[in-house]
Amino acid sequence: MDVNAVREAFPALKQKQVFMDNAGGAQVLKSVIDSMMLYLTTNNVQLGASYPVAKISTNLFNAGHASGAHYINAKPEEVVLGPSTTQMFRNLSVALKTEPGDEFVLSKLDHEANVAAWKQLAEWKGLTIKWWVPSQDTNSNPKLVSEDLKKLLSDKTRLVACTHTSNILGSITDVAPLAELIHSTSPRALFCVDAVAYAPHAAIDVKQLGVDFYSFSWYKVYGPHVSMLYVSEKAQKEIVSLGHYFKPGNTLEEKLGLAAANYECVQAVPEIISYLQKVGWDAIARQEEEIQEVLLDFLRSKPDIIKIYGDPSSDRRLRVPVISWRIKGRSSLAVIDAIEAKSNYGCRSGHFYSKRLCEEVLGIKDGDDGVIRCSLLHYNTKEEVQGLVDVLKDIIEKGEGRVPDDEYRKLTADW
Amino acid sequence: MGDAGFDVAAARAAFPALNQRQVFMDNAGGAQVLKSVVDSITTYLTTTNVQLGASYPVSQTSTSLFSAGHAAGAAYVNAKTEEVVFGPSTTQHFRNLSVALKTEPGDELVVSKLDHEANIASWVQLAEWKGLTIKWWIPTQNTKSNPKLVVEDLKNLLSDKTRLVSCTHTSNILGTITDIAPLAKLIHETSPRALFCVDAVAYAPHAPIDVKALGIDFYSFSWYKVYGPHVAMLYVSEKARKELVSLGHYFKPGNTLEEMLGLAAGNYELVQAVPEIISYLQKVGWEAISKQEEETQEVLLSFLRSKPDLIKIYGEPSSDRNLRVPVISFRVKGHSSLAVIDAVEEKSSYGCRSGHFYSKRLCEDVLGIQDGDDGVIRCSLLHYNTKEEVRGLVKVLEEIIEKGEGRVPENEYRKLTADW
Repeated sequence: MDVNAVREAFPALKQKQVFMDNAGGAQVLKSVIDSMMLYLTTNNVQLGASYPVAKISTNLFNAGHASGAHYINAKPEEVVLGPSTTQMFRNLSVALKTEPGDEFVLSKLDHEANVAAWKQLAEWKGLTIKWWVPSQDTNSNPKLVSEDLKKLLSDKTRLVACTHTSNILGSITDVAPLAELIHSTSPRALFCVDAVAYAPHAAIDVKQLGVDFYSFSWYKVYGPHVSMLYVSEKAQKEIVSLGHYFKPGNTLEEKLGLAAANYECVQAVPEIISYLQKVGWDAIARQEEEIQEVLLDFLRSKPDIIKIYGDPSSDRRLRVPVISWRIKGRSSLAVIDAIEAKSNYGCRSGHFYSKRLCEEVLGIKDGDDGVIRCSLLHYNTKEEVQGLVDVLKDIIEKGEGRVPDDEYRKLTADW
Repeated sequence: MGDAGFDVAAARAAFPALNQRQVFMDNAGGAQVLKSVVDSITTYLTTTNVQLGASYPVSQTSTSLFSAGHAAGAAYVNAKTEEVVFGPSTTQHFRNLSVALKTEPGDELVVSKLDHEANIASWVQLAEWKGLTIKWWIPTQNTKSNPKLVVEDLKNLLSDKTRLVSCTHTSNILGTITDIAPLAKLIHETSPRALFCVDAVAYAPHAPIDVKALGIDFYSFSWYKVYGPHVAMLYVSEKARKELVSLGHYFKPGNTLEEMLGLAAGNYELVQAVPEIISYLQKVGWEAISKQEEETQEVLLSFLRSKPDLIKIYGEPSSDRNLRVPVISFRVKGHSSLAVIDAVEEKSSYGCRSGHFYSKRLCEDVLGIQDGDDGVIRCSLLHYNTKEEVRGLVKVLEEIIEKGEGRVPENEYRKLTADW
């Protein structure tokens, strides 16, 4: 992969700041920005009208919607775009048909986006929550596997929710066997997967995965601030429509759209897909494996001081470059302070909204201090990561990063 | 200087999309976007687009820009920052509100039938799910021609069980302005637990907003109808926040509306551009905007009023800007609204629209329009539309009516698929 050519496609990379909090949001392709600007300056009107500009707007939006669906091997009527995965899962929870006695299996590795709405729904309807906490390597490299899930399923299971990749651990969940287990064990069970931290790193085929609900955010996949939810045709029968009474409710958009798809953003999605097809996932995976090896190799070299959370291997089939760790005797927040004091590397500390994972699974006592996380994409270079490693070495050697400048910032730094 | 001392050419220059043949007269569905807004979004996305709240320099910049956008939106409606939240649409905001609203058995919801479904659907569904009572608010005066939401009718619907009253600040079909403050006063004096929810989507492009003066509890509008990008903003008064549960994460204190109802749904690159909209509106001034609107709407309304046997106006027939905004709807006797639009498009570049615009209950149950999908012909203007444009539309309409065009649409089915 020609990393320079790749970087050229992202105007924001032309500055001193090095972006290493990509799991929070990716840089946006110039082609996407240009597409949005063109849309807003020429054909930005309400869709569905018959005058010429409205026809163009409608076609552009439909093409964006369709390309998003096609990208994950779904039909257009099986996807809806909206503002965030958190909002989409909330809408899903409001629409989901349930019965008394239903059980929800919720993963404790997950970001709150795929926990909060389900938990609240269960509370409001008096349903049972069964927490899924991996039994192997629980506080170092927990994985979501059939062996543990099997024990939690019953004929009352209505929902299983877990992540395709934790935004702290970076380990890839093997989703297909879980889907198979769920559907063969529990007749009414639906499988809801959060792919936000996975989607920037690999192609997606929802049919092959066998999931019922699947969501990720395009703003972590080189695009603007929209997200996309998939609900299989079959699973659509398990939700009520939140749409208007005069709509037939045959598509996911009519059921769960809520007028929340941002036109100028959705119509730019084909540019993202076009770019990814051009670069190719093989090249992306190779680059990611190389750059994550630079960092993981360093982190692995100091087992007495550095604890990696997630898979320690840089094998791209096992993990993506979302890399988290703590340093013995240091505050994660203070380490970030130290990095920022001496470099342009933009990493981050905290729980990243996977607070239950941090405190209750990984056993990190101060969940707000949390982990130090460096999350990379294929436009990051080996030189950048090597530079970060040099800075970390320096910090560790000099005993910096013990006490943060401002403790309180841990609580306000959460987005 | 142009009309009424308002330099309409200068205003139009601020909107790049106006530089084309298509004339935009479906503005109630979405406004054109300011160049300053487009530039702001471009700059943000090419330089400072990261997750907020981190401490490295670019994130601090992003966070400041977003916070400034949020604060500007709040200040614009005379609210505190913790009283507003940004999201993707008013429909989504009201849905979230309905999920968060605390209710008790026996609660009554008074829902206006003049409203767009955005301010109906969630409340109806909430009532169904929780077994609450819906009382439909249908004006008793001029019901089929110019229904207005007034205290005389509302009084008869309120009780000590009223939990919610929801209505529009301006209907996206009628264009008539609701006098909100007296309604708020009546509601709060009559029913102790009642909350007042107002949909301002069709009102916001035309006038400034002061939520404290209005006295409402919940208020929402969409910035993409106010010269901006595709975001919407919800206000919940500090007092009314106590009436909601938080939909936010357990580790958040839940002291602000954003923490309670944010759901990570505020689009950063768009929210941070909001100050540009406000800056433009302050520069042009609402008086100049109102004068222009009154003049352009008079051109159309005086024509529509001139043929009372053929043309029925739905909404206030006067062009007095104190009474109505330029969202103008009508039907032509013996003509299909869809077919009239077909005819307008065939002979001109005027982009209007037909249908029920999601205020289907208004059309069918209140105005008595038998074919709600055919609905009304609607021309919705903003201050960047010119008198020349509206005169041109009037000429086209005159011709269509004279020639008897617009009786039968080319494709009946399009009525059903044209709905957005």
